[in-house]
Amino acid sequence: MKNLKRIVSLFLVFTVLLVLPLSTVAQASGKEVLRVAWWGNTNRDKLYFAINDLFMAENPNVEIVTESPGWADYWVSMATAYASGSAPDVVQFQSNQIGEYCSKGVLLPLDGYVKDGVIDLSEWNQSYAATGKYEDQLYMISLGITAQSMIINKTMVEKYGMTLWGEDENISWAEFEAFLNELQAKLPEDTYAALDFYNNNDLAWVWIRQNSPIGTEWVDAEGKFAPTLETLSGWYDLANRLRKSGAIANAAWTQEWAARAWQEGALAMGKVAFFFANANQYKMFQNGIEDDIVLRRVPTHPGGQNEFGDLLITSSFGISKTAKNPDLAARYINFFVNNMEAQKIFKMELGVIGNQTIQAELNKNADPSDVKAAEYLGRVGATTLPFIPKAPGVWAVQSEIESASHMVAEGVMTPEQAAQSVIDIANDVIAENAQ
Amino acid sequence: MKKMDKMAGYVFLIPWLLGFLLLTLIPLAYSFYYSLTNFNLLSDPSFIGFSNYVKMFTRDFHFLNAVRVTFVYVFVSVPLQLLFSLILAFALNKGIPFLSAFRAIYYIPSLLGGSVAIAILWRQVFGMDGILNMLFRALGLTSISNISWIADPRFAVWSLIILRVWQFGSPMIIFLAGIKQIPNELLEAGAIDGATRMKQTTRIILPMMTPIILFNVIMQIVSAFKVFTEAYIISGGNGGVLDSLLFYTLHIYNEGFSKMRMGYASALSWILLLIIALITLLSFKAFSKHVQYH
Amino acid sequence: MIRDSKTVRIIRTALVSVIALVLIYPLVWMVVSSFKPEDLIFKDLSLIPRQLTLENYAIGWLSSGRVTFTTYFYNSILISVLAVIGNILSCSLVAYSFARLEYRGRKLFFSLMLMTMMLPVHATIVPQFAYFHKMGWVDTILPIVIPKFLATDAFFIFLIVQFYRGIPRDLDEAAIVDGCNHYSVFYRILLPLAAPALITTTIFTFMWTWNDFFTQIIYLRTPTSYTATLGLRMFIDRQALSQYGAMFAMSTLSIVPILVLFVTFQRLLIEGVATSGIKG
Repeated sequence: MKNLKRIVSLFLVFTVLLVLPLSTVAQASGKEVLRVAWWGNTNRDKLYFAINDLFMAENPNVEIVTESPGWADYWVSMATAYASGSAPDVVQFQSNQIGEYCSKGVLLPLDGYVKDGVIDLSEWNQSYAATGKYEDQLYMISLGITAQSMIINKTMVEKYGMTLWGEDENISWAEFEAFLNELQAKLPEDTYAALDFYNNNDLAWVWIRQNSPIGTEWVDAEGKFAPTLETLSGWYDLANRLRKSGAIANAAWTQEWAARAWQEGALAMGKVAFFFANANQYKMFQNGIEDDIVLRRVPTHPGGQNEFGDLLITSSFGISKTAKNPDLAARYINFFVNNMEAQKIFKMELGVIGNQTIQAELNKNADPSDVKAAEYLGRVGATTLPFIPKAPGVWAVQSEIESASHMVAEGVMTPEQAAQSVIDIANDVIAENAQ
Repeated sequence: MKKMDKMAGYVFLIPWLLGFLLLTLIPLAYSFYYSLTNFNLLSDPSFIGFSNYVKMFTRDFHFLNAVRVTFVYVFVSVPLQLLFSLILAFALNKGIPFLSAFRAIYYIPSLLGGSVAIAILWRQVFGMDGILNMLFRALGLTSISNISWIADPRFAVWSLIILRVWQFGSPMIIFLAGIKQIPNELLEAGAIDGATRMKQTTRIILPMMTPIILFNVIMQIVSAFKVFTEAYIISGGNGGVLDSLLFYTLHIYNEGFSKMRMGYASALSWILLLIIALITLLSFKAFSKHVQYH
Repeated sequence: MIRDSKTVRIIRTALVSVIALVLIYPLVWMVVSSFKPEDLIFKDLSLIPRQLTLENYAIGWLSSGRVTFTTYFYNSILISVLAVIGNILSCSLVAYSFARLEYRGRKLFFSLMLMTMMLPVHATIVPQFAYFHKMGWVDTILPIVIPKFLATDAFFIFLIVQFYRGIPRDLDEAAIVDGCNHYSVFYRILLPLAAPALITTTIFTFMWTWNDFFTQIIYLRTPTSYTATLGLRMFIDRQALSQYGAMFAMSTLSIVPILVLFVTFQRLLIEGVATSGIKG
């Protein structure tokens, strides 16, 4: 019987030994730890690291621990982190996800910090600051605002004998379609006017907003998914016509090229002339490609519900309810967005910024393409519909809009079937989240 | 002595009993319960009856895509893999120089097959600029050398089927062991001439190996149904164009852990469980008939 | 042994060699590419590099800058070693119970245990996750390691049971006559004799845990707790520029431990596969 005890106790000791060191491993340095998360890549991370170093130099008792998975993994990681109560203290969000997280009560309202001046929004463009609101409470502080745009290789367009419309002119979807078709007819093999945009949800929302009564782009008065069958199938139909005429590349080609880094991507390699991207990326393309790269507004919808539907996309910091030291988190955010040095490092990485004093200062030495992008965003912001945060479930619905789009692209579904499928699933998801 | 025996049996069994209860049986029951609920981990599960299952068959076309992709994968790759491993087991059994070296080389892919490193490698072998297309270009087959074999929905699943066939080493080694147990006279009797050898192989040797074949079939089918890493890495997590790499396990992962629809994911898991159980049962039935016949 | 004619044998050997070459080519290509300068990787299919560099390894190792592969490999080793300890302890105990002891329900338990081999992890992952989440174990290594201490890898129980059954019962009976009880029979007689099975278990557990991706991506959430497989995944997801060389370098490093173990214990492993049907 002695041996029995020995075996069992050995077993227990091992288990305990395993558990003990793990629970104590966290607090080692004695410094106050602030966990910060954003979606990143090797280049973008350098900016955050440099700003964090500045903050730590001013606050020597703080240690910033960071996590920056790539875009796709980031949201899975955050979803689980919030579900398991292990979320970082300061987390970067994007407009589409704001409703998803705010509604679940996992974020801290920041109005108090603004009132106390810990987060100082006095020099801010108030409409930019308002992008962090959800149901009249402020949860997010914007790090930059951008919007979909068309980044176009003007040299290539002109090389094939076409003339691009002017910078401050807009074109309608019909004109856009005609332009692409005309261009495509002149392009050599294995080159396209544009990539397929089946996976571009931001663009799909621009279309939806152009075709929906103001304020009902997401849910209607009864809490049902608002975009109509006509709106959605119209979107799928538009893409389908371009696919049929060959003006946009097929989905597999697009997937392969879209997976590459931009320097090796379709626009940089001269494989396409038109590229849909957020305007803050304009600088990167303009400076990295020898051809003349220009910025144009996404097509408009004169005669539709709304002529302009551009969606302001904001990337912003929020504070988790589980944050150990929310005051420190608030100070960090304030430093990040309102410190001149920090913003000089950040250089409008995520778009135009809220702090007007700093933005004016940045404009003095800014890259000409950044100034162009800022002007563009100013123009878009002045004319488009107000930003409406989407309710929870948006992540699931977005992926549905995209995959139904695959089905249409490959001829598995008609635009009507795809639209109906999106509406059905969206209603399911919204109902699930309402429970 | 007798009494202590009984006690000892259970004492030695404690770890497994605990594990079975806590990590298998209770989770299985819970999984079924969750499958009848709407559950996002943040709030308590709310009971919704069978509507997750209804949704699966009426709304969720990804489910059908996932079933299709997975079935194509399993029922093409496993027979190919086993056929390949059986043929090579026979080839290796008959006196080849450096036998153990060959055995080792054939086995290495089985060891590494499920790793992230190999999935990354596969992307670079079958991608648009991959080494397969480099080979095609070198051979002058330019018309097909611009296809991305992992992104094009017509071919994507085939790159994964090839990845599985590539891992034929472990069933081959099991077959080799099985062949070794067949009495030598039987094998030698087959060596008279080509025609009778064929007969010997199909009539006597293969039936004798039925239990081993059955074992390999079931093990490989079960493991093929569980494939995740390759599909996740190669499709970048989203299942690829047109769900062409949306393996069933990836669908479960996306619904449960990326959309946080834990209830729905549980329902998907139960269907997978039923499919695997059914197929295992059918394989047993099919093979036991075969054995009786001889 | 059957003897084929000489030509048949030569043809067969040639065929077997060609197949071996095709099989191993992609792997060797990856390893070789990891030593090539970035711009030469997709230039030639040849396995003999014209230029050698270690730069890829230096770039790859640093990964995202703050958390490097030092952390990822440390975590991988930690998890794999703990998993080995867990499996060895629990599976050898349980196998003894199944192989040598008589009690009510043994047959039922044994067949249940065999059935769990078929059970896909996906069937139980959601409740397990919910449960570990309640315990506050998500983002720690516990959900990956603790199950090993509870004999959840039925394959190894089966492997060790098979091995125990091959050890003559006379030995234990003699020991019992000498006054040993089951616990001493277990660790004085069976355990030492089962060393080959235990080594096989050790190596396979190590390799499986090392290669595992599904449970790791579900439970490990912050880069500081990432393992080598997750580090690799993050590496490819986050590149600003494709760095194939660095990617291949880290991929190569991540399979080195497995290859080394395999080469060292080759005979034992292949025997293990042959007798128990373990998949590599």
